[in-house]
Amino acid sequence: MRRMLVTGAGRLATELTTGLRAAGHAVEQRPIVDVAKAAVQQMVDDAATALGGIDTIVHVHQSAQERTTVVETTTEQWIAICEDSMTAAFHVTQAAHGALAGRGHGRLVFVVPTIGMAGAFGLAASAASAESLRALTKSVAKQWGKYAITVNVIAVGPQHVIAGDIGREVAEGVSLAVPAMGSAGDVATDVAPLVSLLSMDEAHFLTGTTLVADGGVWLTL
Amino acid sequence: MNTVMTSGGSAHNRLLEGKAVIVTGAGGGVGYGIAMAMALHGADVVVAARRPDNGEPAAQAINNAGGRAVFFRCDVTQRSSIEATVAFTVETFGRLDCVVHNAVSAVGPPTEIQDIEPALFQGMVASAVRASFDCAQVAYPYLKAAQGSYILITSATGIEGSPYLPVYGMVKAAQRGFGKSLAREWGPEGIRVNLIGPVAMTPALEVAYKANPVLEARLVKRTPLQRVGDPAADIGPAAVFFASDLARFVAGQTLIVDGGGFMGL
Repeated sequence: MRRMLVTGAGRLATELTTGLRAAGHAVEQRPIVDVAKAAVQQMVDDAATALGGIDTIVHVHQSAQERTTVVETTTEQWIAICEDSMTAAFHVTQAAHGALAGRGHGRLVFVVPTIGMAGAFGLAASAASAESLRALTKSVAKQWGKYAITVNVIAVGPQHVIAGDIGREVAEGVSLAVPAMGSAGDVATDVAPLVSLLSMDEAHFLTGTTLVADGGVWLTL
Repeated sequence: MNTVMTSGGSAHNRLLEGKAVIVTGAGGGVGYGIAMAMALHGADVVVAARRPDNGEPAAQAINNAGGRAVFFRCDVTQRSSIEATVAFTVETFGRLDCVVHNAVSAVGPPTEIQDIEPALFQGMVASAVRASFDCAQVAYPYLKAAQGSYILITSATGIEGSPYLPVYGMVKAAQRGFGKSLAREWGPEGIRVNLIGPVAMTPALEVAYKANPVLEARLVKRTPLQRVGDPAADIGPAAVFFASDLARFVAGQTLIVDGGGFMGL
């Protein structure tokens, strides 16, 4: 059993929380309502207090729910979808250091849609921020190995972060492949176990990597 | 202005003749090298730089080398400045065929992520990420009219991460996610979007060298071509290629121009 903080209030974060609790972990799910550094730090501190310490932080990327082309995107939309998402991840990472360093098994896991790797029509702002989180993961993994903190990414199919037909159309737009496993999977039963996997002591040597959990669509790594 | 190696096309092999190009951050380094290479392939180049003290000499050096370039002051963190640069280009040359967004703010010293100040993060997001978006929006009608191309200067750091400059890696990766998506949006309209990941003597590499004195030797050792690139002779041709008709069927791609040091794609 690990003590886990899952950030975000969307469907993906909620289903991850459900799956992790079912696996026996103690999980606090907290939305990020303010991306400012102090607010994010407070959110992490509150979760640590509630849990009596944190072993694993799972930061869930917030993606746009509607498609808007770059040309039609307003600056306000761009900031909200791309830059606020990057800022939230940056501040969660900064707060994670204090929460995880010194535990001997600290884990930071980012969960993003595969659209950052593949690009997606109408979702450029989300794709940009999602891909920035993957690079953040690799850099911080290199910096935090000495603190015994691993940092990894789980990339899921866009259907899990973008609801309904749009998510399905996005998935079809980036690959002609049918998922090798027959579907994009279920977050609680197919994706959440990967967080458990990364949180195990046996995963202490796995860091800086992207686990693509889309059922076998994006096979380019 | 430092002397650079050049690799311009001959009179019968000028791949960008008749095209008008904006290169941001062209006052020095990779941006200057790209501007030089594109000008020597016949492009009319706007050297878009924040500081006249390096932008004007850069344009002059290009003209002295036989190209056509003009300096225009541009701060890519201000959308109005990008709008003025595009308007100037169209007024001066009558068209806009290609934008190369290369500018990025100071990368700062090597710092672990938990100690990075908000101002550094915000500056890099503004110059690399927001400006990629603003340049795209402002240039869009002209690039569409010209059936042109948009080139973003990213970095292998955005692919493999960096133990020294984590925010630099973030913004360079964001440009890749953005560029691939924009390529999907603009391809049907005849505009190509691609990215270049250079390794040349840049401010970011200088920071890394200072942080790790043995890095230069290690970098050269891991590079099959055994050196760091020259901005004009080694990096510039990649931009010439993407902007030219030779790349007419290439979209959404990242070309790492580093002598073979990074082979992770």
